[in-house]
Amino acid sequence: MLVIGTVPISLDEVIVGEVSFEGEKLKVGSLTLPVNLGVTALIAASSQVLKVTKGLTLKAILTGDKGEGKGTKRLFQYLKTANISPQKVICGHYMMPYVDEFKGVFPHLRKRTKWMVADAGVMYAAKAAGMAKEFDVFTPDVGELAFLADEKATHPAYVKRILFEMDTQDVISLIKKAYVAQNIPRYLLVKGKEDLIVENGKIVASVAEPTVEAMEAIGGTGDSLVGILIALLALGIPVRQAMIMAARINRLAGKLACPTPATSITEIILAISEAIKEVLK
Amino acid sequence: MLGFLKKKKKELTGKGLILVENVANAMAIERLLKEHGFQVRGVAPPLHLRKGFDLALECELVEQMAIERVLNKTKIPYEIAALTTEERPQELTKVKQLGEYILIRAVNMKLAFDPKTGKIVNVSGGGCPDVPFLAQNLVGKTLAEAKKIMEEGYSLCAYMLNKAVYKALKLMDQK
Repeated sequence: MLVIGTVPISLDEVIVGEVSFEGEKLKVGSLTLPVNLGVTALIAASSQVLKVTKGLTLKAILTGDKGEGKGTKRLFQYLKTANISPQKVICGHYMMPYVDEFKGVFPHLRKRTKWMVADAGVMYAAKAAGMAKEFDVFTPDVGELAFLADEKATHPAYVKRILFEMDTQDVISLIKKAYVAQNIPRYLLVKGKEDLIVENGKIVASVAEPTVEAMEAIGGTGDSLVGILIALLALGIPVRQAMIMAARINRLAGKLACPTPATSITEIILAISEAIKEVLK
Repeated sequence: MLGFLKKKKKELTGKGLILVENVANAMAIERLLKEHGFQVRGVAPPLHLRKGFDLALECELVEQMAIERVLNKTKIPYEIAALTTEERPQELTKVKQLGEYILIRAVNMKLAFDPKTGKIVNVSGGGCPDVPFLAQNLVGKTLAEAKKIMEEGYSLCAYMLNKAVYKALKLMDQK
């Protein structure tokens, strides 16, 4: 299992390393990282799942980017020629959604994995490039779903007003629009008040419990959900079941952390092990 | 040199246009942006985008916030438009009360703050790399302090987060 993305630190090289998360200390190879929303929350959550189940390892290919895009370009350059071993899951995450560069590396990655999952910047780039159907799973929230439903937008900032206005009210219509426009892969996990599991444009399951309203405000809760999902996929759990389980585990971890909108994502990630035990009961 | 007459077809998805009034301004902007590390090139804008601006520089649309920050320091009139849509960046925000806190959403970006203190307690969403960077600097700061921090934003995600910050400031002013 491999996660590819950028982290918001001054790091001018590409780091390839095994991920470990002990206590509150996240390490990728010899690099220690703070856990915040984004890639670090995702890989910390994945590590928590793998810790409970044992056996599999998580690798990450990371570089530093605080938004100026140089790190993203460095990462794409690296990926063009990187010798990536066959993976069960590759997940692309936070990075600048440069469409040209994305198109240059995507085919190489696609060949190396069974499951290709995209969230955050990689999902934006894949949609903008018209390559959503070549992924297996996207994990949008409702705002991002509106973007996927918009035939013309290349970033959520440019989404049509009407789609943004309706996003929480009529999720089903947005899914249909996105599906007709061929802007979504076969599977979607729509993160929201109710997490929706979508296959071929149709909602096949949903998870609404436990309801922890504060989680909507906490940066990284979507990332932790994706991190849990990709770990479950890597463990060979069938995709529909993996999406349902991931949504339950993430929500339960949220509940166990007794959060307020001011809670940090680390507190929720630390509760994942306990949440898995509850879900597996 | 500007490449206005280049005939080579290039993939335009994800690109934006900086529309300007004349060649001198286009050249000045091109030089300035290249000095700041942006990849831009001169192009003729499509007919529907001309509206008084007859020359354009193609740019990465996702870098709009950083490009505007550089251009706003000049007195050159310009406009940025997406190539694939006639929309402008979404102005609308949604506001929700979450217990003692207020959550503002600007499409894919969320900002939670405490209306009693004006302190930002969480930032969520997005997909561009400046979001985690801005989030770690914004959380725990006041909305007034956030204006300065947001000057470190580059991307369209940061652009939307900035909309949320300004909406929060407006709500605080109305109190």
